[in-house]
Amino acid sequence: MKNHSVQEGIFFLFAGAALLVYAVTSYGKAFNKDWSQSPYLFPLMVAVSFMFLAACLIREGAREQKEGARSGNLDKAGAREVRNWRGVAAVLAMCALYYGALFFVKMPYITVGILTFSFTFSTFEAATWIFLVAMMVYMGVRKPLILGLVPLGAALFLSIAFRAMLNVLLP
Amino acid sequence: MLDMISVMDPHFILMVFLGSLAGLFVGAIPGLSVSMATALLVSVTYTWDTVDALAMIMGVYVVGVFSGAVSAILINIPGAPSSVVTTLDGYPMSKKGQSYKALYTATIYSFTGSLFGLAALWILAGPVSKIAIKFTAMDYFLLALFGLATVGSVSSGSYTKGLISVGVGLILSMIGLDPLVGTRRLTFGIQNLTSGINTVPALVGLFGFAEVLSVVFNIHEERNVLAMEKSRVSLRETLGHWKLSLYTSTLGLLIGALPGAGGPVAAFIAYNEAKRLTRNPEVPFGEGAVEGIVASESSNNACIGGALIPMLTLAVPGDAVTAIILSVFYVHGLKPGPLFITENPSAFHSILAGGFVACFALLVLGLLVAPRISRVITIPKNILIPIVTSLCVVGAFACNNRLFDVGLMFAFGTLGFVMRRRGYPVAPLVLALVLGKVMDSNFRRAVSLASSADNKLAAMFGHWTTMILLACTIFVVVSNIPAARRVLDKALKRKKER
Repeated sequence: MKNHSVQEGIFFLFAGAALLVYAVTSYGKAFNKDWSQSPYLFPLMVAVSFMFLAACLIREGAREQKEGARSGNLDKAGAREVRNWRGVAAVLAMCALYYGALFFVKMPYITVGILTFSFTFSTFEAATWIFLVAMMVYMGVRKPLILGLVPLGAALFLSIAFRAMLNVLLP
Repeated sequence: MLDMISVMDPHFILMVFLGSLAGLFVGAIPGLSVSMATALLVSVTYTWDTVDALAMIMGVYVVGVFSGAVSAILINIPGAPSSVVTTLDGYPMSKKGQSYKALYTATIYSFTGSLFGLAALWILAGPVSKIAIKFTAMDYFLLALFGLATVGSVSSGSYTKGLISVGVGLILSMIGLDPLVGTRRLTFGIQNLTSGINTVPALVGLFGFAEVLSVVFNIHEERNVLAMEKSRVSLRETLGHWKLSLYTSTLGLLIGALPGAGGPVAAFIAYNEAKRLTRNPEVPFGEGAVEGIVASESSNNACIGGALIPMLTLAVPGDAVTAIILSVFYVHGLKPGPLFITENPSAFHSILAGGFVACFALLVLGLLVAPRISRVITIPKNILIPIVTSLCVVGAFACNNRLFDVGLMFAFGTLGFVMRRRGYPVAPLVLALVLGKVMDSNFRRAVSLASSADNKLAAMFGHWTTMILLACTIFVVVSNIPAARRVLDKALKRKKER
């Protein structure tokens, strides 16, 4: 059985050590050599405490390993967990694409005016609509009516509610 | 006196009511949380008038804490962490066809608990502020440290993991310009990090996007909603538990006022106390005892007023939601602390008025709307979650109008999700992120002041409040060390045997 506490403890130990090195080297380079006024005093304190906690976590993990605390149906639970992690990874990938679209795609602003009410359509609305359709399809929505109406309605609602009514800027 | 103009202003009441309505749905739908809604609201209310923003946030906060009980009773999934205990007796009551009675009891005692907590806030905030004026820089550092030590101990099975979560929050709080001399720290040349990590995208990520990922992870675990069977419930019979409610509300208030502890802890302690005090319950606890719901709901709602006391008077948030509300204050240029009530009486009165109006909104919504929202709480997750993700993007972007913050939100969401999966509580990280700069500046101020004194130790720790806070912090840390705990347990066992 993998012991996550030990692995995580080692990771945090390295993170604490990196912060310690950063605090000491930055202090060394700084003009002010008085620790009591140094901006690196607090990082130093936190780094030392963090390393101590990491060591405690490793110890806890090692003790757990020694005691052999393991559940009975690990393999079955493990297989389900792998499938669930894949789902999370896929959603994260979709979010990354959504973020990329908002960051790189520059669409012209199209403003539609109905009497005194105007509504603007741009990158956010288009990207959100595509993102919502993709994510709903991935999460198992198959009804064409829902896939057609809900993402479009949600994108338009977000745009009208935030951009037009609450005067909140959108990406 | 409380600003009656605010209470009577229809616009103010409307804002509180809209917030309450949002709180009811957000709190009741598993997968959405009060913290998430408040974090999203912070970004939306940037351009609003302060009073409107506070009115709506109080509505969301008060009713959101209560409405976690709706899904706890109907589908055995608490809508909010503080309603976990309500599931123990609420769901068994629903299975017996008493879901209306359970909801009715939860509504009545959430109302009384909230009123109790807010009344205590009204009465106690002034005296606490007077004591807080005497606090030294070291006191503020120790108070924040005490809060972080407490939250680390109560929010996770492993104290070490709770404290590591605190450590991660403190490291993240150091990013950006140092609060005293303005030196850049841990920015690694990234220009957007110079002003530090904005709390709004961090909170939206940790509470909103992390929740999205958690739902995606557990998407296959669906629960059935039990049908609502409306039965006659006597108000007199329901109010018969007022003594228990008063006691557990007091417990909730005290636990809520402890920096770091919050509704879930209060509800657990109150439930255990109810079990101890109720000798002959009509139905055993865990099988549908009304007393269980009374204790849980009274205490977790009384926590609201309790948690606001340290936030308003000391700028130390009592729980995750008050940490978010603290950022609303900063956004609107308000500075909570010992002088807050005297310098900003209108903001203080708006909070109180908003809270009281929200209590009545809770009563109305709880009795009239909550029994009818069973359809809403079962909106398919595969439709709800994509929309929530887009809302998180809007919320993260709106605070600074930078896409960098959206990226930050995704990063914090992923961090929050991984932490939850690995058993690291998120609340200590949030509190540390908010309190980190306060701790850093106050500690260095205390050390700098003491460096010129003859007796440095006395200059730092000589004040009576400092000694009390130091003793409390040491006690919390030591009592959570496993070896010390074993010794304490053995001593208690021996005492019992005698």
